[in-house]
Amino acid sequence: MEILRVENLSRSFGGFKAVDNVSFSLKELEITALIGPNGAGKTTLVNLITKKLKPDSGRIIFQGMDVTGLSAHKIAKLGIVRTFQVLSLFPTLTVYENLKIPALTSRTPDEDIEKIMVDLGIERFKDAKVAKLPFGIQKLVELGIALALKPKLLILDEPAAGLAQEDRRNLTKILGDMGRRITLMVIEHDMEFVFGLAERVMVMDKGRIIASGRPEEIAKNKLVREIYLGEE
Amino acid sequence: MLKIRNLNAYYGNLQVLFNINLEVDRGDIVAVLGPNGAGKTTLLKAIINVEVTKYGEVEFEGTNITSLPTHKIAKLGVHYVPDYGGLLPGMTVLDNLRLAAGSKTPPINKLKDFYPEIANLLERRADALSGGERKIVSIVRSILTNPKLLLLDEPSEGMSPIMVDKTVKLLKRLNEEREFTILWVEPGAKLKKVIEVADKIIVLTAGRIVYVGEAERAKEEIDKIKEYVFVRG
Amino acid sequence: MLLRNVLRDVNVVLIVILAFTLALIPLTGDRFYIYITSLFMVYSLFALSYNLLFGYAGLLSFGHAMFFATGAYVTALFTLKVFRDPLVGLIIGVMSAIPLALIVGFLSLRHTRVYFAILTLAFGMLIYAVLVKWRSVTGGTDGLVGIPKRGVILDISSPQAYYYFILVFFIIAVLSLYIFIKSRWGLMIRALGANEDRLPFTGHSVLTIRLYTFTASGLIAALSGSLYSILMGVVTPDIAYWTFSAEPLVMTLLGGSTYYMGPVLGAFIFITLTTMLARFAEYWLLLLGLAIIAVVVGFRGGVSGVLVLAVERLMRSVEARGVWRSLGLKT
Repeated sequence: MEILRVENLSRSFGGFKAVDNVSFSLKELEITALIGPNGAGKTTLVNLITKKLKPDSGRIIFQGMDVTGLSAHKIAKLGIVRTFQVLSLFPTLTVYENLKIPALTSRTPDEDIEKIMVDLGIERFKDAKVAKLPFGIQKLVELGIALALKPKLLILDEPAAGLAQEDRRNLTKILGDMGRRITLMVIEHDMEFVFGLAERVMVMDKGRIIASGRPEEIAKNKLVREIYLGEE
Repeated sequence: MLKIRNLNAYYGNLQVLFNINLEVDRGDIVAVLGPNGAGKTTLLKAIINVEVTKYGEVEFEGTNITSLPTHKIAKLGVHYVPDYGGLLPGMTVLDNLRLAAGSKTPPINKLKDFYPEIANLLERRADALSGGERKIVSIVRSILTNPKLLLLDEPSEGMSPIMVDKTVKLLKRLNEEREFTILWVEPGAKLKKVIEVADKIIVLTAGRIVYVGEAERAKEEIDKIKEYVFVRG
Repeated sequence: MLLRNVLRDVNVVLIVILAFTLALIPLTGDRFYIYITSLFMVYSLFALSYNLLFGYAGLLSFGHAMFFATGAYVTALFTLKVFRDPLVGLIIGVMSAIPLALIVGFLSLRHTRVYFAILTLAFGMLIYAVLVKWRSVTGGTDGLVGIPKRGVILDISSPQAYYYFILVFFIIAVLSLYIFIKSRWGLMIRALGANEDRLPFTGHSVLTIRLYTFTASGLIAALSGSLYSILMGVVTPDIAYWTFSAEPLVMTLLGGSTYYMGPVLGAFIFITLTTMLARFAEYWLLLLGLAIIAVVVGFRGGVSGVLVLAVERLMRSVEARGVWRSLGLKT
């Protein structure tokens, strides 16, 4: 079952084509990784899907419905949720309040907010102001905000960036469990993380998708090795 | 070159670093590893006197820099590259680099020597770069300031694997050619690569130093190091 | 559940203490104190309404006087020309904020904060211009006089009577606004002030939240204006001039915008300074300027910020914490 279909999506900044005629589709409950060199357009693509930016051309179809013209908050309400590479939390509010805000949109009751905090291991910080928390915990709050929206499609932008190895393994487990109920797309640079989690890998370079397939295939792909993976 | 003695650091009332003693010799690459929240960034900030309340002594090339204002420490040749890059957003990459090189136009060919990719980024505005691109530019920028001591805060975080390789090789090469001394902070994901190029490894956990080792010994004890780094303090 | 939390809250205790203190003022029998305290209550509401917009939602407005003036003039006109009663006039005056907030809000709130600030200045002065030019209705620069305190339903001509009239509405407004801020709508407003950029990605419309914040703020400001017109008996266009819009901003900065009751404290300081120093009329502006500099240079949290720091230090001593807990207050 196709949950998202992107058709001929393009976006330029001045003369620079950040996203160049991109088309792909995501299968429901499949975990997809989006990888590629820096500046390939991965975050821009996510910005276009979630309407942080308006596409110059193309269509976005979510669960069979054309959502191309919808505004960011309506897209989020429909169930397309994303996290940010550079954390974007509500700094002066508590962890609970940070999760309550999206919970109001999805009508998630307080018990479920508790459960999300417990699952992520952050319930003891419930009433702490987010700005004062250590980085690793803040990253989990960022994820919690996305979960409290009860997403159908969750797009994670470099969720492991800045995390130490054990935290990464912990995150892989959390996302793996999540992947059984939510369709996931993950942008990441940590190949161990990607190959441990993804069922499908898409590779972007210079605004285009240059390869797509199972992780093992991509790892062997010559072009991908040349521009992105390096020695391994 | 850098001597830190009995450093205790606080954010407000919260103590983050406990009794740190550390030495960096000229020409060395010293890696500081540790889990999140261990205080690695705090250590770098404490050296340049930013945002942190500290007690103890910091000495650079014989000068006591403990209470010196940040810009004076920078003038002495200590350059800090934060994890978000620290570029001036409204200006182009080229202008950012010009500022770093001291208003002389930096030799573009030389830049391509560091990272070939940089040629494409010169005309872009610094705030229009992707996260990884920003990191690459901030590293080039720091090189252009001709620092004596480079403090790198998670420089390879968010870079594609191939760029991480290039960055590590570049820094090793510069360290050899120009005697850049580097204090390099990493969260541990790229442990192996960093240990290969470092002269000294320090592991910081929950604000305390739990391991110090010279290069060869560190390579043998890599599993022990992994245990220190990966077990949260 | 909300009610229980509210009752154990420090701010509610402060409000109750303030209410009791204010209730005792008329017993002094001193007309001047009754008058000045009435003015204090009016200005407090004005400043509180401003801080909802400024301190909580992060929206800087230079035209807040438009609500004050509209409430004042509508109440005046209604009681003079339509139906002679202060209570009904007040209600109509407060309601007039709604169409004003929706129209001005819809035109200004969809812009970025800088443009919003300029637009509020423009709309504020537009209202001023209307009040000055439309002599036949508004009385022009002479304004409207003889706003009645004795009405068909309510007679509040005596100082005690109009004082308690104002006090009742003051308490209701201060408590309601606080409950509003503690509610889920209040959370959205605080989210707006904390990280507006993230808000759409949590499924909320920034424009919608701005609009209801602007309306709530306008309603309280109009209430303060309506009370003012009944208190003074006279309204003139200067209450719509942009410098009057700066006064709640000054009061908020002085008292502190981070704590709920900060603006009330600021209004108190402001009125005390301006009346006490009225004798040294030339000097009060100088002192006011110095006070503002002090706030900006050193005491960002305003006077309430300094007080809270002092109280926190006090609370750190073990005995004090015991006292606090035994009173059932949250530490």
